[in-house]
Amino acid sequence: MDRKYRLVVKVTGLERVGPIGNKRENPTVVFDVSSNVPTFRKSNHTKVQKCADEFRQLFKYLNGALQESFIPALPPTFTNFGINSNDDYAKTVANFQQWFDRVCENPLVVRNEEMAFFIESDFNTYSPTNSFKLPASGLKRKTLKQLSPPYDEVVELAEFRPQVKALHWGSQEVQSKLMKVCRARKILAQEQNTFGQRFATLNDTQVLYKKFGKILTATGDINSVMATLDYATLYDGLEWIVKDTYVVKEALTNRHLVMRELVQAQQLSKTRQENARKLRAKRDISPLKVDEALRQLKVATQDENELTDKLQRITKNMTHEREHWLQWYENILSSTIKEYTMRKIEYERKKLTLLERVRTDVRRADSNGGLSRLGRKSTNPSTNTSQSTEGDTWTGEHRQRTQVQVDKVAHTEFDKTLGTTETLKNDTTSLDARHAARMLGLPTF
Amino acid sequence: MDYEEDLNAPVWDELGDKKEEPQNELSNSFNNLSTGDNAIQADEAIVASEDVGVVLADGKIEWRSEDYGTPLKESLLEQLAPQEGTLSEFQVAKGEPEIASPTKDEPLFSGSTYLPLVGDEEVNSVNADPNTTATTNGNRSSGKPQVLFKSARIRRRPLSNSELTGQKITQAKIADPLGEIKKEEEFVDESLEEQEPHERRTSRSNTILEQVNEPLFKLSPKKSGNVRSNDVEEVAATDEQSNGKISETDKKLIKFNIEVTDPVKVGELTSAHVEYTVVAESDLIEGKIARVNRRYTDFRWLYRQLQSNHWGMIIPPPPEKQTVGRFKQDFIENRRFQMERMLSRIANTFELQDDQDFIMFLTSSTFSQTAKKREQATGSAASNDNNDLSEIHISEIELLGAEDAAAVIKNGGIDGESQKRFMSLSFSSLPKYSEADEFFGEQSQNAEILDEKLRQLDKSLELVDSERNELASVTEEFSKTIESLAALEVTKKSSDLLTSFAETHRRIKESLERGSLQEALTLGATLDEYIRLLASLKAIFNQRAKLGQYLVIVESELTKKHVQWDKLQNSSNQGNNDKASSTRNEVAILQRRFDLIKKSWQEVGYQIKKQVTLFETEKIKDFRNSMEIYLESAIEAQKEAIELWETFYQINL
Repeated sequence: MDRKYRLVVKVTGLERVGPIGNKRENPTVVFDVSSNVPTFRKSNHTKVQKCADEFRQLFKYLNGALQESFIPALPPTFTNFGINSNDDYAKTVANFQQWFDRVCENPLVVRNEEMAFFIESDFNTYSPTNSFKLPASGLKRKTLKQLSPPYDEVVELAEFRPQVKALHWGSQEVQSKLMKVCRARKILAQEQNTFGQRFATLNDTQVLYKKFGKILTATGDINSVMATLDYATLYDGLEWIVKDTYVVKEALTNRHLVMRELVQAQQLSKTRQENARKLRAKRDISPLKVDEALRQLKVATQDENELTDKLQRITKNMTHEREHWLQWYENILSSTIKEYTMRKIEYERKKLTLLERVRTDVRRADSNGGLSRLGRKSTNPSTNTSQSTEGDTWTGEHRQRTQVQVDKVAHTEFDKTLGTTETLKNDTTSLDARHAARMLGLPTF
Repeated sequence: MDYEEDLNAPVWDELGDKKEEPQNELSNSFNNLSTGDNAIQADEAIVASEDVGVVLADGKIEWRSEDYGTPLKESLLEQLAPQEGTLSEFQVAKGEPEIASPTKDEPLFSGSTYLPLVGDEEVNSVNADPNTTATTNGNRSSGKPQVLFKSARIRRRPLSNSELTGQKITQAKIADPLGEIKKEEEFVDESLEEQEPHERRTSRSNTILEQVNEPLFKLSPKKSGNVRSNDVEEVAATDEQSNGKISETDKKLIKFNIEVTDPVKVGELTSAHVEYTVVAESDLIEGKIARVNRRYTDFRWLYRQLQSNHWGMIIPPPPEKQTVGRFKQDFIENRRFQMERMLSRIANTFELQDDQDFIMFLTSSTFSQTAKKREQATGSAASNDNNDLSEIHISEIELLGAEDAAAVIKNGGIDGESQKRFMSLSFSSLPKYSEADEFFGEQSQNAEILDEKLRQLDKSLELVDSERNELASVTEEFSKTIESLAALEVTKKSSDLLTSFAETHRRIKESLERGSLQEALTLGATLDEYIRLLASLKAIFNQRAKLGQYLVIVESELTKKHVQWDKLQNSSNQGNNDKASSTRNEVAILQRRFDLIKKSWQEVGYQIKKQVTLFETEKIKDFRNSMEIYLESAIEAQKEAIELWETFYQINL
């Protein structure tokens, strides 16, 4: 594939201004562009500002005009981290970057003049100058979709549409289930919260109950945070997949429609040919009629040829892009799940840290606790954290971590409310040689 | 009704004023009479004019003859009594016309620990021979059992062995011609007690039975060595010990191993219920191990019976009643667990573990009949079981002794009786009892507050639990949809990823479920148990209040009678003589009741204080324990979750 033309876009920022609805739905994306495509007036553009509505217009046009391609769906304009958080900013910027990357990979898009118009128009003024025509739209499209798909000799694409459709619905199903899980977790968090609070008031005189209750409350809070994070990572990731599968599915529908058109055109040219032959066989032929018939035949044949070409182009391009798309799907799924898992691990670890923090207090409450209940000697709870730079105490697996990572899980958002001023035993101060070597030698994962 | 209260008030005031002077005047002579009994109250002092003394003596003698109604026992007592040193004191008291003697009996013998023994004897003898049931019942209704075992308890030196044994065997034979054979088979409890000589060798009849059963003991493997030969010495030793200190108890807790297992649904439709197998293992039980079938109501009975047997003790409570969903698996399991806790708690409480009703519960194969008999004998009304564990019933029999209780019950209970009399005199309401000791009010308030808090906490925990289960179930759904997504096989890699993602979620779900089960078993069970224990705690406060109420009623009645009697005395009319003597009797009866109630009231109060402190420390310990277990399991679950995700991460990403 020739990469004669290239378009490189670097998203540099995101601005959310105006009323809350606008902030969420219509943020402004700031990006730099460098290109050697002749449709562009200059090769470098810096700090181009485009709002999400303009993106939507561009997408709509591209999707309609380039029926050969699967145009990537636009990423969601906001994430479930909440629009004010840094996570949201980073994630949205990254998403738009990813979209540009995908779009710019497509030579058809790069060469399309609308792309240049889009980038070179002033902020908030872009609307497509060219028009496009879908094979069918509205009610007609709906009706045609009900018919059984025409015969498709390209098995790959024939199978692709139902698969993508199932993926679309499946992802949506997963999303809704995930929402349920998150809701359940939130409610659980709430109940844990109240439980913790009530536990804290159980006995006013004893600090232990208060502390224990507070820890329980904090674990509840962590659960609530986890619910939000589940939502922000997995749900949003799936959201993009859902949108993208929809676009792919519709593009494939368009192909079906084109195929149907072709079949019709073939039939038409056949009847015209028949018509012309009949006329030739007749004796009393009016030259007018013959001319008419020949002209019609010509048009029909031309249409047929055009459609055949179009379909071939579409089929060829789609077969090619299908691989790309599957690759993308695999990547985004895995990165979404990876993000989800990492957040999960982080917060589960934080929860563990919290629980272990109160452990010594509970054990200290009387000497008959701990192992002595099992008839063993009560040993002093020596190390109160099971997660350190040395790895996890409960597993034989060797997991080395940097001090930074350990610190990250050793402190939670709720430390302030806990009122536990005692710092953890992980002394960040003692920086011996071994320690330093480890810090320097290991990259963060 | 303020009006009535006003009417009552002056009476009280007069009483209070009077108290001061006569007490001083009379205390000396009274002390002489009472032979150092310190339980005498100011109120008695009023009564203790010489005239009253004479009259009371008459009354007392009447009772006595009634008490020793059973000729067998009386003669036995006559034979035994003269030889016993301590008893001479008692006999002096008895011989002299002396008002305080009924009171005097009490401090020595009315301790709740001894009472059940009387019943023990009765029930056992009923067991032993159905033919003698009538006789025993007679004993019970007329008998004053305290006196009987009192003699045994106080005996300082054992009688010469042969004489004693000989006598006793003859007694037994007379009473029960079939006894010997039967007893060999049936006297399960007795031989056990022989193994634990310090425990309950207090009743004289027990001693008889021991003697009768001597050959049987020799067969018992446990005792083989020393007991056979040293039996007599042991008896002597025990007697001496018990002599030294009346309330001496061996502070050793006997180990119990109790399991409630195999819930089985029994019966059809209306009679359907679940029976549990109770397996108990202990030295206190004959044959060391007992296996019986009990249903939930039986546990309720046990609770009520123990409550009645041990006033002022916090009895480990049974689970709450529930009408719907009784046959659900979860519920049954939960109930089983709670009942097991209850039994092992009882078994680990020193005062309760050798309670005869408890032992009977663990061993008896004819539980329902025996339970009924025991209930009648003690007047515990254990099967009139209120839903609310803190509701209590004060047994008149335990309180006043069988004979007086019968009279009281006939008149509709202590409060009922007085009410009737009040009604005929005036439209007075019952006098109100107000707790004088701040401790009780405070503690019962504390218990209320704690109860409220625990209930809230329990509810909260239940919610957490149900939400956790909810989360587990939606996680399961979630994992299923992920699996169906994986089944699409869009690409090999994504499909694998999704499959193991789903798998991880399923594991998480399992861990969640385990977590909620663990939570229910640790904190949940403790909370639940303590809510019920608090009900049991409230019950002992109720006992105290009820006794106090009785006390006030009887006291006001007593003052009224006094006034009446004084009037009759002053009028010294010939025609009034009959009336005077009947009033005199009534005064005596009331006085006795008053003393008994007051005694119980004080004892219960004392016991409650002890129990409350014990409860507090136990509570802290239990809570801390379940907190620790809860925490540890939470930590473990947390590690598991981390591990699951770490593994998933490493394999797939």
